Amino acid sequence: MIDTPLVRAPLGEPVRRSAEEIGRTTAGPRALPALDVRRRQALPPMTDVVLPNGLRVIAARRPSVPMVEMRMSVPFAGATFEHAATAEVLAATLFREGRPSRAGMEAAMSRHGVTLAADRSSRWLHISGSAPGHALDTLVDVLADALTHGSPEEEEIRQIRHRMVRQISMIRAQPQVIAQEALFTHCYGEVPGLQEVPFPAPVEAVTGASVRELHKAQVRPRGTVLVLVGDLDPERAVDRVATATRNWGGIGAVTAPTALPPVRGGRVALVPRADAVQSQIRLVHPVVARTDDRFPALSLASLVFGGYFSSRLVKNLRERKGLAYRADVGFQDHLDKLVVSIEADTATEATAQAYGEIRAELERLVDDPPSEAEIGAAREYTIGMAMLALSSQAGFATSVVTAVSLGHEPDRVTTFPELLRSVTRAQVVDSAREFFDPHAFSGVVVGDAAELADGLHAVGGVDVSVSAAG
Amino acid sequence: MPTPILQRFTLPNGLRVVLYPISGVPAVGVSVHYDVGFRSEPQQRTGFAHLFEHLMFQGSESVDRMEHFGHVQAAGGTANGSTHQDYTDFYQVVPSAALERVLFLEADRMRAPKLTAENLRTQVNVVKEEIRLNVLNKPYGGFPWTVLPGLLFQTYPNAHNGYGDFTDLGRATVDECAAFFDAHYAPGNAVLTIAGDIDPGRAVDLVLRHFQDVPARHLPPAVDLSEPAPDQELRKEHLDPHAPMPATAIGYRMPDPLADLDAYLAHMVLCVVLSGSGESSRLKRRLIHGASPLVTDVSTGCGLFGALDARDPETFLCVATHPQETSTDRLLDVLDSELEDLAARGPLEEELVRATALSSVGMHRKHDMLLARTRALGAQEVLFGKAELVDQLPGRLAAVTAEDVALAAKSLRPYSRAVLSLRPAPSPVPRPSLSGS
Repeated sequence: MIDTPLVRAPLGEPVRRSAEEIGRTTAGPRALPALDVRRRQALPPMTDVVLPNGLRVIAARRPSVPMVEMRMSVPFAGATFEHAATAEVLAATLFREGRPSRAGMEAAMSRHGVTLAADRSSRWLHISGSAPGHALDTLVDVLADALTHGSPEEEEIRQIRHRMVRQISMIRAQPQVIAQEALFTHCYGEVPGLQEVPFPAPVEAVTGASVRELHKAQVRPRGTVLVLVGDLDPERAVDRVATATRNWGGIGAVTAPTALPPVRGGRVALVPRADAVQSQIRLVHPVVARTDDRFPALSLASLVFGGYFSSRLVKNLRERKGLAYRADVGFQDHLDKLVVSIEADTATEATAQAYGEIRAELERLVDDPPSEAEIGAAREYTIGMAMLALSSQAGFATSVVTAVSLGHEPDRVTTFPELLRSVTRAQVVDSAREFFDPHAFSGVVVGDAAELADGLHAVGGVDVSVSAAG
Repeated sequence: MPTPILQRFTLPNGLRVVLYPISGVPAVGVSVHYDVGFRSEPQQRTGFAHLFEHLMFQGSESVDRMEHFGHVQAAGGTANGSTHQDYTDFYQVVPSAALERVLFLEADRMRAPKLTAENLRTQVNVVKEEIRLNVLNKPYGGFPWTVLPGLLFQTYPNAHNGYGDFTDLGRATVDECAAFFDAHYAPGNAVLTIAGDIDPGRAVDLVLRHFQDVPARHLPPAVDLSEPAPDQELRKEHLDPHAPMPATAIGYRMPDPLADLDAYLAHMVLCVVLSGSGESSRLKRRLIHGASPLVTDVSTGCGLFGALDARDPETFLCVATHPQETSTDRLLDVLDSELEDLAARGPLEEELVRATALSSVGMHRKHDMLLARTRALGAQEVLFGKAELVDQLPGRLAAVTAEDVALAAKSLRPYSRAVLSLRPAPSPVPRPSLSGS
């Protein structure tokens, strides 16, 4: 071993071989080494407490770097476009600097490099933060202030509104966002409670009073989970949160998300987008809840089908045919419903073929069901990725808050991978048959409709007469 | 936790190896950084280095096409690659039990990749889909990294678009791929990094077992990237058919990180003073959070792909999206006045404390991710021969002074920069309307 920088030294004469010469050696192909014995990872214990005000606090010591990561999810569902707009503005005000109530705290935040930010989805207000371990108190104090003082100035709201309308115009021009909204509209009709990106008009109408009202009604401890992971003492961290949030009270019940109408099965619409050179294929099918006994097998079926690089769909669309750079299958929470979603982005001239291949792969998943090897690979991948996520403070905190938000206990982060080990091939085959019927998927193809119509019509299953703007 | 002790050695074939044991993680990160990026690709072959990165996943003598990902993922890991200005990296993060398998896969493609016409044709199409996804089909796609270098720089290596244009990609031949491999993918042109749950002694044995018989090859001369900084302000327009509102990118030259690392780090802290998180950073306060905001978003950054990610010459960036009413000149006036003030007076005490604290903790957070740390170690080693810089950065950023930041601000001179204005372009051809059928 040496510990001085290494030198890149030229060796010998330039070599110039053909591709065939490069691809073989005199020794010939070698055998892939076996895997070593896998060791189980010991996870740090989690302190898990529900405070008298209803706030659930989960803390774990993991001092890999001298930092603490914080994640928090507050139930934040609503039923109107106005709610989506107000919630978005509220999230933008929560940690704005310059509030009189936290003048001293902001100086401490700056000194230690403490960060806090909030954003919303259709169901949750998400808060994330970080601090050096020794500045945990500052992080908790600023958080508690934001949770208990929801009183932005009218001028602050005006500035946020003004900027947000412009930001929305940029977000709404993104093809991914256009496609997701078109998918929602096609599957459910108009459901304001699903909206991820607000419309500009209701944002323009948000006032300080409406933000304060929403804060009072929904920024509440009941149903809220707070996770702290890092260079900390879990008991002490929980005590600190309890003290800082003792005046944060709960009023009323958690607002339940809107109930969605059933997805209209088997209908796929063509949605035009101006100047598109690539199309978004978005197909969904409702499935069982994550808490259902069938979910572990379903998650493996989904992975084998298209959920990771080694899957059938990615190998076919991307690696065999070069029809897409991105193809993905996974789960989406549409409010209280879980759907399996198939997504591919593919050039206008390749779209019809890619769509046909997706349908063919769906049929093949039933006709030629997943093998033991395919299921084993998908299982090891899921387990490995779950363990890897837990190996950093940020990944650990995000995994735990996500699990609890989705209705699981915090130990889901380790029990789910174990659950996968007991899934049988028969269960995965059943799952493929039950949830991957090609005729049961609904969705949209967004792109250059004039160019796409004939090709998609020929493949079949696409309602090319639909032209709802995205 | 104590800072891990980094070890390094060189094999007789020239392969440089960095070992970095970390206790308490259940996984290993393995990366191979080749000293070739898009600034080394041939003329009329823009995008070739990135295309070739894709081909390195298409099988080798002992690994069938499409099996690389399969072998890694079935072991519970993940793999990918990326192409930067001056290096191309291939990386895996896997449960510790799969270390030898990953070393085998990396050695096999370093020794004998399968470069076939079919793989080339398929990957040209995949790369075109990637460019459509990230550049051609969306607002602000590839802005500014694919277009600003063409204004700030004059020479082909620095100025061209590293994603490449479709014509050049379509021209690539298998024989050119073979020549590129022979020239740039020699073991002596690479750094192998192994970080995480490893026993260094065993890791050395495994490296020797799999890599020592990869034959040494001649190394290409380093590409000459040197060129003078612009002696005037260069301006140009860039049309974007999908953008709803204009954007402006301003590029300056930066200090050479190898020759003057402290000056480079001062630019990193300057970025936080100018546009760090929160409303109080200079440009956000002046441009966004005032009574009559001029821009919707503004950011500054060191490097096209992040700080310390390329050799000299590199770009200091300022990018803003803004309404039509905000002229480029108005934006530049504000930027220049803040830079002048910082150059003359330096940052306020609280600004400096905040910026150094945020820079420093940002590094800690990033490097808590095993994959990020592995790749950073390899990148610093291949670019600068300084893998240990990864551990030194939090402390060195925390030590940047007000004078350093003032000098950094002073070095960003109006008469030596590129200003690229993105304009929303109307559709060139009237769209045919869709008739219901």
